[in-house]
Amino acid sequence: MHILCALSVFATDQHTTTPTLPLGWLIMWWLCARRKNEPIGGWLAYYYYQLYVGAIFGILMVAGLNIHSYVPENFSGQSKVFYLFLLSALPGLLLLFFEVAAASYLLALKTWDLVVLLRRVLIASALAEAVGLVIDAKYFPDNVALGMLSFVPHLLWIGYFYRSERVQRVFKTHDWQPAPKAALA
Amino acid sequence: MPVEADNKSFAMCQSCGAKNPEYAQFCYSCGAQQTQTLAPVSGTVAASAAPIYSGVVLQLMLSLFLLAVAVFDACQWATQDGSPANFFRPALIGLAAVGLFIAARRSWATRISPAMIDDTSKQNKRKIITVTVTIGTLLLCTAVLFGWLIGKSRKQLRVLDADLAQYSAIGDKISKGRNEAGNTIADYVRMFESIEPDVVALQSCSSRLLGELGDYDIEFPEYHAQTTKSIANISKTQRRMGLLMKQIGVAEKVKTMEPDEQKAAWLGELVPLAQEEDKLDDNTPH
Repeated sequence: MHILCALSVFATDQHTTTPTLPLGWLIMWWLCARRKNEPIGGWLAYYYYQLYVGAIFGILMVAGLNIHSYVPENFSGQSKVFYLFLLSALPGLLLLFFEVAAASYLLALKTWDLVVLLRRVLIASALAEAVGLVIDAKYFPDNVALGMLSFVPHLLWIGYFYRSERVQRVFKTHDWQPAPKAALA
Repeated sequence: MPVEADNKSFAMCQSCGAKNPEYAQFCYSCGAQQTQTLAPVSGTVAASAAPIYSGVVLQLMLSLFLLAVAVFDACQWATQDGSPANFFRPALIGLAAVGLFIAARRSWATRISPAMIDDTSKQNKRKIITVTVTIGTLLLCTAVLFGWLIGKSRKQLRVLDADLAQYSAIGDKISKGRNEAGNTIADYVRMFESIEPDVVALQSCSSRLLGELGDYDIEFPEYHAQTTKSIANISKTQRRMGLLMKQIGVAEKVKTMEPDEQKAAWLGELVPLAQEEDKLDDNTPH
């Protein structure tokens, strides 16, 4: 999701094909499937893997390839476009920090109030991406597809943190038990 | 039920019996919801129904965020002009970050620390410090990187813009001087004398611009075609200025000649240079 977020920013002024990372996703999926009996396993582990990998990848992408889009002098005579670009891309990037931080505190402390905090950050991120999508649809139409690919998973993670039994049992009731081997067989 | 120990108040979880701060909504040990709403027994624990860690965590996150903004701004400031007046903003943001951090410490001291009676809570304090230091270090490194890259790019583009404006202004001045010259050799000699400082300045400006545009081309490959065109135009201007300097040299020599020698020297030396200059406009840059 965050990889796509970074690529969405990257695509604003560069018409290049964006690389997909099927191998990375497969490795993450395999790692999560291996840990599915652990408290931080399954889709919850996948959430953390994609969050951290996406954050690192996103920072490197912006720093290495797209930093010029954040330089106001690059938009001389088009300051309106620059501010619209910032409004479209920047809140998502800033909220990425809050998401990483909230998720990390949650991982360390495992208390329910931090799940509530993380949900709020996720909702704020989804709202920021929705605003970004509206702006992209009007001013940067090339970014809409990538924006959607980032926005929809965000909605899915919000749903996951509201509905997941694992989240409830790991962070609220603290009674996650691995499934017995006989049951697995 | 509320319990008093060492001047601190707690409540027992109805589900597992673990000790919790009396204002906790959920049990720290089993996560079960606490339905009782008891007034605080001790004055040292603030009465609040708010979840216990999220407030401090939010203050810490905002403090780190503001600190990163201050560092980002300071790095931009350092890579650009570095004038003391412009340091005011990052310093102010940094102060706000420190203020929030102090508020987070106070929240900890007044709301969480008094409730720490078991090892779990003390471990949680260590975990919060570890996460804060780790996330903070990574965030500040990112802020330094982005601030430095954006500041450097901004400075480069400002210098390029200023040199392009200077290039255009001097070019216009030279063209105007040449167009306003009279028809006699003496008029031309005066014109060449008057434009000489500008021609020297334009030569210097063009050289700088060629270097700057070379760097720009490396950093902005997406504008390669446009940059190549600009480099070709400036290179042509440089050649033109070289020919103009030669014409100025001829004009200085002609000025010292007798009037009857002037015309021959003018036709034999200056006119070929002027024709060579005209040919520059016919050549399409590759």
